[in-house]
Amino acid sequence: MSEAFEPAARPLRAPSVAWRVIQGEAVMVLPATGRVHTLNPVGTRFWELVDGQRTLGEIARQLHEEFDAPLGRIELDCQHFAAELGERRLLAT
Amino acid sequence: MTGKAANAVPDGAVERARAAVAPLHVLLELTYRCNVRCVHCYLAGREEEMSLAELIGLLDALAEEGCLVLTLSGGEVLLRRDFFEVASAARARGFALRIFTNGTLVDEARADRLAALEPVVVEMSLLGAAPETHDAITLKRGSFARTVRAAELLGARGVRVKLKTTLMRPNLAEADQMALLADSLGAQHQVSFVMMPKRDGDPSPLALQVDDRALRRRLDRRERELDEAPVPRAVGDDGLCSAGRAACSISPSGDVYPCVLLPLKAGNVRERPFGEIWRDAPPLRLMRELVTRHKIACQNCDDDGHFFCPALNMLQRGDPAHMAPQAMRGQALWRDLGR
Repeated sequence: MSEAFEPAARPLRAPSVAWRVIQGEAVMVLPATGRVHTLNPVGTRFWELVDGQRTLGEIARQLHEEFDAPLGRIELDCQHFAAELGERRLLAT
Repeated sequence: MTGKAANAVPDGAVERARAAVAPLHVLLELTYRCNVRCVHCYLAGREEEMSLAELIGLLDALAEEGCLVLTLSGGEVLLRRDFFEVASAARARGFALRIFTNGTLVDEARADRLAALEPVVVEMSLLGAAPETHDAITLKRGSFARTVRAAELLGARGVRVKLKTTLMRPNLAEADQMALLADSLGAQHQVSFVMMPKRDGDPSPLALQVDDRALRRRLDRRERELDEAPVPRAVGDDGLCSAGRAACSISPSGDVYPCVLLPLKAGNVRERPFGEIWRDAPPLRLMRELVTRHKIACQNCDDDGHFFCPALNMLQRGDPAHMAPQAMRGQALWRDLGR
């Protein structure tokens, strides 16, 4: 799992996930589990950026520009968050 | 990030949708045609159905307004020849799908196509544990066997199935067996107790209602089922009605209502964009104000508003703001059981 989400990885939202952004927060339904997930505003922005085109490193830099946090910390957070989403089958690998 | 098993949406999402006035859950009736004739059905009459092109335009509008959970309902949805085109278009637009069907038209091929849609759940009515009981309520011989077969076919394909039972006098004695049957099929089982008048106000389904004494005996044994009953909920994970606040329904001809059972037409999507109707139509704005007001009022009388059902009120009292006898009955049952 961790190999798939190194900085050069290009994570992609699982195609089956249904989601909408409501008042800046993503609400997601994974049909396979019937579970509903919600993301905070930073997680939501991350979710919007994981399009299979951008690398995790590029996403981290984008978040660094948009949110007031050190790049190194954002890079680590992105890797951990991607791993968490992957474990929940919300990202395609 | 939080996760929660659900068929609808989590509390927080509902609250955010209400705050944003987003139609998080829309029930879209594709047709009123049906191949069974359930004696307790709330539908009355038929409508000219929207075309596939009209429906796809509507799906775009619903996605634009923030709808996440789309329920495709009928009538019997599989009687529409273009059902799978509609459902596929919905999935392509990012909706989580719930599909209501009676299951009688689900064969191997259709089960494959339904599974390919990856619905959150397929919901079917189970109205008896014995074929003759179920078929006597649907007025369709063989419907029990076909519905059970549909549950098997879908379950085998990994589709989550919910079997919904409306307990009424003809099937009350089979309540436990129906729960066991659902378990044996690997399906969820949802029980409701309160009969609804037909949408045109015809109270005839209420004649099938289980009397309170029998219902109390039943509830004492199967208390968990009360969680799924006794007053229908539009979406509301908080137990309060979401009609017009985070949910609405749309009829086959495009009429928009706060709820599938609430005959307060807010507009028609053939005449006015859905977004305008959702944001501005007086019946929907009324519902937003009404439920909030009722909840506040309930806080002064140790109630939490769980049994405030504007649709029941409208159908039984002619006014969505006045508690209906059926709602008061549910409230009394709830209190008696110490919930």
